[in-house]
Amino acid sequence: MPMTNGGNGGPILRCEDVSLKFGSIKALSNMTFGVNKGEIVSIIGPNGAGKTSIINTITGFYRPSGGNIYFKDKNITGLPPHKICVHGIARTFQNIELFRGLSVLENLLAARHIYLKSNLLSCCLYFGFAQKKEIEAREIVEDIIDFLEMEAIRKQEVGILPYGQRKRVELGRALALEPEIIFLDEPTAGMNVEEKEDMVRFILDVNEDRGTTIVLVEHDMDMVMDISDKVIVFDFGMKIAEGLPDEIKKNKRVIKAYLGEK
Amino acid sequence: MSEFDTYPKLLIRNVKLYGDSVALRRKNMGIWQNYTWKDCYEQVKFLCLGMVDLGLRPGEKVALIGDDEPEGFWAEAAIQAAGGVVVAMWSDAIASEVAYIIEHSDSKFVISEDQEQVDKILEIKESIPRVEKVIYWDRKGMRNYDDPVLSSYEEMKKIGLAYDEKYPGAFEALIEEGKGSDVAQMSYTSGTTSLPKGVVITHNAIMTSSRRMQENAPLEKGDDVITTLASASVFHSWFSGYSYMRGVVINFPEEPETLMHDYREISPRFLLVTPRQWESLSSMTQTRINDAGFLKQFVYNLFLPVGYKVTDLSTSKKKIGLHLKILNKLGDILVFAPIRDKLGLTKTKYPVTGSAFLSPDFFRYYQAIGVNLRQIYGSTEAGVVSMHSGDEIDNDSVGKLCEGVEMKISEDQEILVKGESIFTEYYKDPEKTGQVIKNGWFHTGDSGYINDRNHLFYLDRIDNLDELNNGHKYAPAYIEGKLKFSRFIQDVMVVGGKNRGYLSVIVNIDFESIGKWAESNRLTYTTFVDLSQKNEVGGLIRNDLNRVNNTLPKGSKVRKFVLLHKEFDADEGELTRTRKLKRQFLQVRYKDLIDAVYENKKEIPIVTEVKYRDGRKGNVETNLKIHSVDEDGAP
Repeated sequence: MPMTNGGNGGPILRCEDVSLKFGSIKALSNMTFGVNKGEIVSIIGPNGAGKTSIINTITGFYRPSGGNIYFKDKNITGLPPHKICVHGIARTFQNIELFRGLSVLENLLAARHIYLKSNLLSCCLYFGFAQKKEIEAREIVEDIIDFLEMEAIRKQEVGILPYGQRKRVELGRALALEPEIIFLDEPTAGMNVEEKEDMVRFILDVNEDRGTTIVLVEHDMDMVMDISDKVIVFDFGMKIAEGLPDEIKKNKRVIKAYLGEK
Repeated sequence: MSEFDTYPKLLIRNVKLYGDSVALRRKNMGIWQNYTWKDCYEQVKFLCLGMVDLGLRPGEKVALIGDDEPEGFWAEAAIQAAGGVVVAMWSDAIASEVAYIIEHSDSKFVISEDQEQVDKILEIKESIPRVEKVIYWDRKGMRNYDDPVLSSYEEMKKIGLAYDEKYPGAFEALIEEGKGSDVAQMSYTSGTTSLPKGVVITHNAIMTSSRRMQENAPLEKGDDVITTLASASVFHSWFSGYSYMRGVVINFPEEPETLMHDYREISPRFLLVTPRQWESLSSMTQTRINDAGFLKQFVYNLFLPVGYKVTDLSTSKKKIGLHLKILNKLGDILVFAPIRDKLGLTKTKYPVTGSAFLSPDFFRYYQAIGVNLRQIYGSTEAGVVSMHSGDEIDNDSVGKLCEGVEMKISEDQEILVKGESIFTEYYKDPEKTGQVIKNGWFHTGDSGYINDRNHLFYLDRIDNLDELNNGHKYAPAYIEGKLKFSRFIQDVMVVGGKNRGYLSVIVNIDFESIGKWAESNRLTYTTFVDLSQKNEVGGLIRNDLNRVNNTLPKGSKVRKFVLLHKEFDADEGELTRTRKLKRQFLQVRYKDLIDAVYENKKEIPIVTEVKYRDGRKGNVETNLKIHSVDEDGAP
């Protein structure tokens, strides 16, 4: 049986009193929670609860209007996305955001740019330093292709791939950053059962083999309860519960948020 | 060859002869990676000694399950080097089947590919108590497996390395002890009707078959071939002979899904795939062409008929005119060569098919695009029996009898085979063995005949044959298949049986192509019924029957035929939904018609009930002509 890393590596990410306002609408109010290293954490909640907003805030797409975000004890609050990713934070999007005209391989290589430090001159000369770096990048990307079983589509244009495979490419691109934590925004939305099973297997493998911490937003409750070490529940921009899957299942406030009051 | 009567012995020879030459190639990380004979030798040696250290003794069985990868190839050699017996299993076998085979074969170890296979084995652990070790070679996802029965390939090789330091020369000595007459492999036949049977095969049998294959399709050292992911089929072991005996480079595709792409990169000199795969390759080409731009389609449609024409002329051994030759050459440059390139057949000298029936349409198509398909006939039990060699290709036969095969056709028209290539026995089943091996003759269960050029013709499984009143056996499906090859015949049923002295056929004409033919020959017609009863159409079908009759044994020739006034229809229960004939039903439904044929009538009025799609029923009345194939009218 596959099992998760369990998250006994101490805290890696901390959100303290994080708030986000759009005009007078409060998307997030005073969010406080932590994620431990090696954990699989799921964020659940009804539509509009602020799940994607918190990911966007942490990964730098939104600037929080209050509070602090710490990654490995470094304050990353309000940093732009391209600086966030250098810290070892990667993400996937709810609506796939890939370069449609590039091949799978090129999409993954593009993610490696943060590690390609060659200057203009050495790039023009190519041989030597730049070549070494390119080969290194390709090796890491090929490793991911093997890991996610994408050999057969390696050279295909992303635009023509079916939805489930594009989701997989997105995960691959996130992995190419060699992150310590990955945020997955609805990784299995719109997938059929088989694709879902594959994706869950990959998520577990990423967590288990690479020791990557995983935070996912997901609506499929069976999947969430099966693979999560910890579940955080949002409602109307507030955290209403946090705990082990079994505890969450029994939590009255959660049931109320999902099923409504009598 | 006598000195090297097992593959492991040849491995030792090859390391000495060409240690640094490439033996295998595997695509990994998108790049073809080479393994030399020295690499192979080390892999095999340490795995072998590892297993020996853990207690593998000569004659003991080791089950092998996984996709076709170099590790599997090495594992086979390692098992055999230790004197063990390889029990080959299909990677997609279900757990219960795997359990049965491992238990029945008394396997001591299991070598499996990856997590998927290991999960399968662990699931059935309770029912295979005699398995002492499960060895896996792909570590992916295996981090948290701590069952003590598991060992990785690397761990085994470490044990082997230590063993080698302790007892240097042990590996060579073990191989030296092996004999050609030892059991090398057990293949389990798929048991569609009963439990699978373990076919026991010796080194001699495998090497004999492999040698026969090489005689008919000789390859040189350094030529490339590619494995076709049939790891458990006995063909796989024959195929290995190319590597061990001739130094041919075996290429392993990256994943089953990348097979097509990898074919193209390698373009193997010898390619054996099943008829099913040849069919899908050709339909894939068709689909691609249909999706292609106007110009490509135009050129394709322009030159394909040229290819067909040249093919037809050369099969009927007629002279090909100069302008046709030039056109065909041009077609080859513009169309056929690029298609062959896409299919990965550019360098393929021996495109081979076997093991099932491939429609002549496909043979003709491949020939037209410059791919001369050839056939091989053999089986797990019989080994390689016949194969087309060189230019001696006859699309109707399954090849020329190989050197050293003794064969006879029994009175029941069953193919019987004798010789070095046949199997020893069914494991632990002397009763079944006795049923198929009698006085050294293996009864294949296939029916066929041999012509004067020593070509073997396969008809059908013996169980599917029918008999005439004179005792002559014939293969209805075989004859029907041949007739259906004609573009004028949509469907056909052979009629005969124990009460009758000769064969006749009921034919459904192909309305569309006969209609077109009629138009271009200025033949007027109104309906399907009208067209089917025209004498000219009768003549057309007669030509086809004569052509097919020429290839049939004397007693199986078709003498009479009727062109039915309608098509066989699944809605009326005449065909199954997959368009197979429902013979029993048809025999009853057309009893009057069939009786009239054998009463030598010239015509018969026929009324059939027709069920319309909306559920109403109606009657059709017609006079059906009964034709003789012989134009003088003699039955």
